[in-house]
Amino acid sequence: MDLELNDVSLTYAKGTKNVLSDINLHIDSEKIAIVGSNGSGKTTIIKGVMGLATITRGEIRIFGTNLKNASNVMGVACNLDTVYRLLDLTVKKKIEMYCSISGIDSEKVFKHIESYELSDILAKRTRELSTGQDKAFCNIMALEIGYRMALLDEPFEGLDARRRLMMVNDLKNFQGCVLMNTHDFGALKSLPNWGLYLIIDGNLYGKFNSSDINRLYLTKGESPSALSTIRTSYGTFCITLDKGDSPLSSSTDLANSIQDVVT
Amino acid sequence: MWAVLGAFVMDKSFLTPSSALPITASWYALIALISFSSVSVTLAVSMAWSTNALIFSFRYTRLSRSRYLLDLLLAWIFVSVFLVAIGLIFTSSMFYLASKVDVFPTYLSFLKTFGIAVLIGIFFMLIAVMLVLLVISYANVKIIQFLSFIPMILVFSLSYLMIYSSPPKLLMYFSPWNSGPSLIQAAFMNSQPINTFVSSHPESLSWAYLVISLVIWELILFAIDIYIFRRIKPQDTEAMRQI
Repeated sequence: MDLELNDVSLTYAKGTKNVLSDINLHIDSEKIAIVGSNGSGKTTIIKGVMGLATITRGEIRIFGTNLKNASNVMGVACNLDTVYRLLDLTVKKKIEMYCSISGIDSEKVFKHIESYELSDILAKRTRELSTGQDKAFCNIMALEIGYRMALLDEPFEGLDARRRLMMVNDLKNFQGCVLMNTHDFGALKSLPNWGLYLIIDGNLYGKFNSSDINRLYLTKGESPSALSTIRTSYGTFCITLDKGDSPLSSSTDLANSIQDVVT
Repeated sequence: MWAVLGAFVMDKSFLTPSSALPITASWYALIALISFSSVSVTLAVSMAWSTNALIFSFRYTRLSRSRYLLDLLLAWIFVSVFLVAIGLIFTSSMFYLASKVDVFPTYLSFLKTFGIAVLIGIFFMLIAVMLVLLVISYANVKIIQFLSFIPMILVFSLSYLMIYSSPPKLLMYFSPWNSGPSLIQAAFMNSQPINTFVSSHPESLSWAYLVISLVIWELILFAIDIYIFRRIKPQDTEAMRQI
C-alpha cells in the first residue's frame, strides 16, 4: 500500500478542535481526487501526509512506514508553496537545490518549466511570481520530485486555460500515484478512471469513479439504490447513479449544492 | 560605532603606549561578541520562515538535520569571517588614530584572532539556532523578535564582568561568554589568555583548556539543536508575517 490513513484525526495545534476526524483512505498505485468545498479539510489531508498538521489519533503510513518514523523517503512531494521556501533563492537556484537533495536531474525540471513557457520565471525569486506562475512552478516540482507520489492541492487554481490543459495532460501521463484535491468537477471530467472521494463536514465518502461523474446525482434522504448515504449537520442525502435530485457534475460549490438538495 | 566610542569618547589618557594594545584587543573582543550575539539570532530567525520546508525536506528528501545544521554553520562562517575582518580592521584603525600607537595585530595574531573569533562565532550561532528552535517548537512564535536580547544580555552581564573585576578561573573555563573575550584578546595580542581586562595582576589561563571547553560547548549545542529539530513544528506563514 502506497499511502494509508487509518482512523486519522488531524489538527493544526494541540488542544484545539480536530479539522478532520477518523479519516480512512488507502491508495495503492492509483490516482485519486478528493472533491469538497472550500474549508472542508481537503488541504489538511495533504498537510497531514507532509507532516505539517498534527495527528491526534490514528496513523498515516507511507510506503509501509509510519509517518512518525519516516525520514528521507524519496519520491514524494506536494505542490504547497510553503515547502519550497527553504531559502529565499531564484527559481533556478531553488530547482537546483531541491533536485540535489531529492536526487533528481534538474535538467528534466528545467525542460518541464520550459514546456509551460515559463522560462522567464527562472531568474525571479518565488515571492516575485504571480499566483498562476507560482502554482505552475509548485505543480511541476510536485510531479518531478514526487515521481512516486504527488500530492496536489487545487492544481488548476490560478492556471490559464492553456496551462490547465497541459496540467491535465501531465496528470494523465504521470506514472506515480496521485492524491489531488479540487473543487473543480470540470477538470475531473478530463481525467477518467480516477478514484473519486467527496469530503463533507470533515468526513470522506467514496470511492466513486471519475468516469461516472456525469452519472452521479445528489438525492435527498436515503435510497436503497444509493452508492453512499451521507448524514450532515443540515440533513441526510445520498449519492445515486443515473438519476436523482441534482447532477453532481453541475455543482460549482459542493456545500451549496448539498444544501439546495437537502433543504 | 562601538569602535569609535571606545577610541574617541572614552578618556584618552588610558591609551598610553603600553596600554593601547591591550585596550584595543579587549575592546575588539567585546565588539566581536556583541556583533555575534545580535547577527546570529537575526540569521537564525529566518529558519522560522522555513519550518514547513524543513519538515518536508527532512522527511521526503536526502537532507538530514545534521547536514542542514552544518550547511547553516558553513554559511555563518562566511558571514562571521566578514564581521571579524571588518571589526578587526576598523577597531585597530580607530584606536591607532586615537592613540597614534601601532595597535594593528601582527600577521600571526591576525590569523589567530580570525580562527578564534570564527570558533566563538560558531558557538553563538548554535546558541541562536537553539533559542529559535525552542521558540518555534515549544513557545509562541510572537516572542521570537525578543530572542536577540538573551545572548546580548549574557554578553553585557558575563563578558563585561572582565571590565570591572577578575572573574574566578572556573567561570572563565566554564562560560564561553567569558572564555570568548579572553581568547580573542590573547589571540589579538599573541599572548597568554587572562581573566580580566583591568587588574594589573591577572591570572593566566590555559589556551588549550579554554579552546577545549568552547569546543565541548559547541558539540553539546550541536546535539541539542539536532534533537530539537526532530520536534520542529510548522509555523503559520500569516502569523509570521505579523511579527
